[in-house]
Amino acid sequence: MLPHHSETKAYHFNVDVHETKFAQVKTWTIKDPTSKLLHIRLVFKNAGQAFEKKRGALQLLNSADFGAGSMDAYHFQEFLMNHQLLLHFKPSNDDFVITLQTPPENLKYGLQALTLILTQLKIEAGDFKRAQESLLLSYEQAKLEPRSLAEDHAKDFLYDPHPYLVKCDTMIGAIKTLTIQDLKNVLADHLTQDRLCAVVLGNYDAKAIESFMQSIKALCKPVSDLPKSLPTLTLRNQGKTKFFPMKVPQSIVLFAMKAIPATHPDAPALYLFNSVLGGNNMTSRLWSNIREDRGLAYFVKTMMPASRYAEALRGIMGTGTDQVDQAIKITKETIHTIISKGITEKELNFEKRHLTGEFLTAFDSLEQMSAVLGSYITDFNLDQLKEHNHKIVALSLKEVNRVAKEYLNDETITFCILGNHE
Amino acid sequence: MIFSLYTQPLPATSPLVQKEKKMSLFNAKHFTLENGLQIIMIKQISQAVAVGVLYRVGTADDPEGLTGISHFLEHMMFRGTKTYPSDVFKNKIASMGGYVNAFTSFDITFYETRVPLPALEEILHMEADRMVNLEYNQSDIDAELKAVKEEYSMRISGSSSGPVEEILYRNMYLYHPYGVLPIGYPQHINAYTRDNAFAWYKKWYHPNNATLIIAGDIEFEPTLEMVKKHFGDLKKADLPERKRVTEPELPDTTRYIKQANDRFASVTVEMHYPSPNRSYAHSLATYLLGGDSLSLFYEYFVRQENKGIQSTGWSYHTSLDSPNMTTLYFSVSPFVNVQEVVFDAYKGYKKQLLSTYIDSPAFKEKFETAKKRIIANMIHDTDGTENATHAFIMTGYGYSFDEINQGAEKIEAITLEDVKAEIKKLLTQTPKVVFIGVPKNTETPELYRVVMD
Repeated sequence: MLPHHSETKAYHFNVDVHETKFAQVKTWTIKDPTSKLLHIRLVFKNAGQAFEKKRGALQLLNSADFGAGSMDAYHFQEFLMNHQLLLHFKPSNDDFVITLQTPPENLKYGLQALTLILTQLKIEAGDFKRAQESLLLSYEQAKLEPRSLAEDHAKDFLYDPHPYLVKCDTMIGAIKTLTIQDLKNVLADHLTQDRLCAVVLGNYDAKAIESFMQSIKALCKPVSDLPKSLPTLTLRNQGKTKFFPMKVPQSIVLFAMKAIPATHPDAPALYLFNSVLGGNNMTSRLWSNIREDRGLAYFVKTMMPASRYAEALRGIMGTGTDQVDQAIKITKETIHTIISKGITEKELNFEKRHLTGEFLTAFDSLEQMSAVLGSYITDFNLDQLKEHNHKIVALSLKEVNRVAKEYLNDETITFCILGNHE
Repeated sequence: MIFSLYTQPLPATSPLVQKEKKMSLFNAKHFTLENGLQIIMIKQISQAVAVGVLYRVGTADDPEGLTGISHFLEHMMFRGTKTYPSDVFKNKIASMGGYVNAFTSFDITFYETRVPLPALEEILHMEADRMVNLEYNQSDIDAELKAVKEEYSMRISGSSSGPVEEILYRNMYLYHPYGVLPIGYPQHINAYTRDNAFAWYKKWYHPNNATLIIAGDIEFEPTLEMVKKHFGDLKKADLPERKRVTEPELPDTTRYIKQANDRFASVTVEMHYPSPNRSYAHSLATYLLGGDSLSLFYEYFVRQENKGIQSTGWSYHTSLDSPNMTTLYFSVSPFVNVQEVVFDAYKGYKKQLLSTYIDSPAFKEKFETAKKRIIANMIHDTDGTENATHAFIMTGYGYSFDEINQGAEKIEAITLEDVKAEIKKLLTQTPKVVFIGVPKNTETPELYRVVMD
């Protein structure tokens, strides 16, 4: 029989992450000399899609077959593959990210590929037109999907206008106006020295990375002329509910209420509180009250703000047409009760273990570790990363419940519903 | 399931590939306990440990009238034991910050969890416990029946692609049990009871019908001792024979399925061919034809022709029994003449490929680079405990531990002639099923008419 030693024990974070500078670029590293691979993540902070001069350019560049230097798209892809390079552009709303994964000995080819992209990007008319058409079709398809259509409505109803919120039709209009030159310009505009930081993982040689980073920096403009920041995304229609008709078997319910940004000092407490409310799949209060006890929804989840300039706690639920009203009623009651009465000691301890364990398991593959470190390096220092689990463990019941009461108001929740309703 | 080891994108000629030629993909070992439990351990640097339990039973084994009961049992396996009653199992894993998932295919049922490394022993204890001590009551059955019906509504009846998938498999396999999707039909779901689900559990869930896969920063010997501690005393049992019928070939017969759907913004064409099982040559052949953006079909139809085909590719699905299924798909812009751009062009390209190109030096070069790309993919796919665990799921489809771990060498050994033979066989067959999905209510439906020849 196994001793149940760890029912409430939280997990300690003991990953060997270091901060260093390669070519004066702030870099977080995890070295693993046994790995067959080297992974580099270049993060350009505040250079994501919400900062674009011409909307859609980063996304179109990302989906296009492009060549570089003397190589057309086919031969450039062949060059990457012949040298076992996984090279990806990953634009989010906030940041522009480039990842390169390679056998260590092929780093020089990775640099060669990036140099060619940044200095001699080549997009042929046929490749551009096909990528444009394909992206437009994906937005046309999104307009037919209940989930994305509901999100489109929510962009109007739940929030004030903001660069994060671009509806499908607006994207379609913007993508149609883009040119090949726009895609060439977007790299020069978004990849600048002043916004660059990096993550280096796996089997790397410090000298080689120093040289790599020097070369990358030399290819970037020193200073960006993109906006330095964005205004905070604000909510509208607080406390209201609106139905948007669509004939679908399952209604999509989106809701939001004001909370605090992820960088706020009280964010860890609210993060834990949200996990009890609806963040933790299968054990949260909303999951139990709505899905497990009453079968009112197939899925229900709440999320803390993920983007840098957002501060809303958001929720999503999929429920049958005839159960929407009741599901919303129970959601409101659950949120009201948890804010007014607070979470319990048992829930606190459960979540301490859950959240510290979840953070630890994210340090698995190079790609997963790169994503976690890349999301921290832009807004937190290394100690904050290392203290993540300590901070969770140190939270008291009083503190968590105080934070929830201070920042959340259930009377301000706004609901946006897409479904088959009057 | 798709033979994912060999259908993902990527690379070639470099020191890494050459170095890997004589090397295993994973630092892994294979053990067998006295009670017949197979154990695969993979050592990886990670803070997480992944534990998979594979049972060699799936939908194709399900009894007549109860198709999908293996899938239903998969749901019941989360309903607990005496030690971990009802939802305690899931909650315990959630409390560790872990990830839990399961799936049932035609041939296997697979359970996986990913947790912090210190929780490994607890997971092993829980998996050993539910291998033999499953316990549930009528209310658990009622709740899971409801969940499975919801799942059917979401994935099949309420989805735009679900009914098509049902019809597709029904037409691919007229006699073989692969013809009904793993979730079964509503009449099957209604027939599941506490007793028949439990009888199914008692029949198949034994250590000698399972493989335990562990990937993480483990040491082999101590972990083996830990496994013995929790699984070693479980008794082996007599296992039933896995009876399967032989699907008749029905050559030169193609069934056409067409769906006009107001939730499709573009056109999809799929051609499904019967294919061999467990064939490395076939997987390389389909990769060369349409496994990535450097493949022959992508290069010809998307880049060269550029007449409205947004994407195309081949995928080789694998299963335990023959015939397997290999699929060619085209994703096409709306307002394109499908007959001309897809069907006529495909016919023309096949002719060109088989008559001259296949024997050209250019084809030989494409063969060599495709081979190197597959091997490089395999190496990139060794990263992370999830990839490692999933790689060895293929043991449930008849591949040996060594075949998987020495996969790069297997691919390296395939000759140009092997691949030519596979391509010739594949492209001279008639597809068994062709699916055409088009947007509904368009002003130009004549563009979507095809000649069925």
